[in-house]
Amino acid sequence: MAEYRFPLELQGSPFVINMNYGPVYDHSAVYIYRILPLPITMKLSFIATGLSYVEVFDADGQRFLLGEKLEINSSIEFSIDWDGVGVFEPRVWKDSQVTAITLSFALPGTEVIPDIKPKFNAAPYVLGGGAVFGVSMAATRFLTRRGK
Amino acid sequence: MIDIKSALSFLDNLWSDELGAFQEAIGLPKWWQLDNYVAWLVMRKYNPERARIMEQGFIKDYICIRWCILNGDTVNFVQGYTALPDYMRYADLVALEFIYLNQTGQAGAGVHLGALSKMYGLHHEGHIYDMATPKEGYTPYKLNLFCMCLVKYNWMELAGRMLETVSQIFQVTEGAELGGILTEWIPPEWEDRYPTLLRLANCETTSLAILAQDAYNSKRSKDNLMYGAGIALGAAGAVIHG
Repeated sequence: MAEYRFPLELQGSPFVINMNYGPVYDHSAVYIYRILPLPITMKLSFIATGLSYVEVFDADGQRFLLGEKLEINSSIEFSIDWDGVGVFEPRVWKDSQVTAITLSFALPGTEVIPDIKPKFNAAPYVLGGGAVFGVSMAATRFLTRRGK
Repeated sequence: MIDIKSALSFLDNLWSDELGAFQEAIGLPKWWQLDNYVAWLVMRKYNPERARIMEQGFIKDYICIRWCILNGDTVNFVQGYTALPDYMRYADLVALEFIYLNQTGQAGAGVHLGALSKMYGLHHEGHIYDMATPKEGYTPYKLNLFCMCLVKYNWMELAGRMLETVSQIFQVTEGAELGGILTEWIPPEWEDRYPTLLRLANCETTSLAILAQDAYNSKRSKDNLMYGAGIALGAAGAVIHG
């Protein structure tokens, strides 16, 4: 079965869980982990058309975050307070009537991972500018003298 | 800033002429190729004779899939997601991946540096915190790697702060380990979680600190040289002209 590990901070919200089938669960093993191990509230929606069994497991911490093999009969959204440590793994049991799983979350501004750019370095420009200026000054002097 | 001379003197104490290698720490006679690879990177500059001995002996034919990226080896380096599927929770793997991406000109380097910047000071001011910190620690070597990344992106002020932290908190100032860089700083609330090993100065962390300080110093020297040459050329031209 395919396994996917996604860093939460680099995902958009809502995040749709892959629904490829596996031998035990009705979707691939999808693990969400936090780059910053900080608590966050996860809103998890199971879109279901009938009887289904779902659960959320923390595979690193070996514990259920929602309850084991929870029965649902229609679409439902859960709000789960997750400590951000370990992994967040939504599961749908085989032969359930779930058609989609989505996760949404609101990342505090302080926890957004920035894309840092290289800081401007003036040194090469000072060298280049100094060289151009120096050579042009010297050349001007040289040409002026030749013209006399 | 890290006292390189003192750090090198500490490494001297770990050297074995018989094995042609550095042991892990004082009182810990274990010789790891991984540690010695980093020490070899240091020795190439500061003790070429020892570097030669290591190349021909202890680390001969050793392929280091981790620290090789510090030697510009992008071929043998194993990328983070291959090492661990959730590598982005580990600051050292994030830093090494940044170096790899930056070196190969691939996208995503900035996000890796961003992740490190968020891990920095997360729970303790001046320290880097990731998933491994509560269990294993290794803060200073992560700070050293973060410093190397910052130098590559010209964030020199923050890089300098990183080195100050490492020197002030982790570099041993007296006793048998003088000059060495401690493996971990232990916050009071984690006091009972760490084994003795983490309280020792060790070969790998000390070598990384030297490399980080070297990277910082080289960048500063190069920039100062360019500033000096630029001003000198401009001034010379003005004098000739005028």
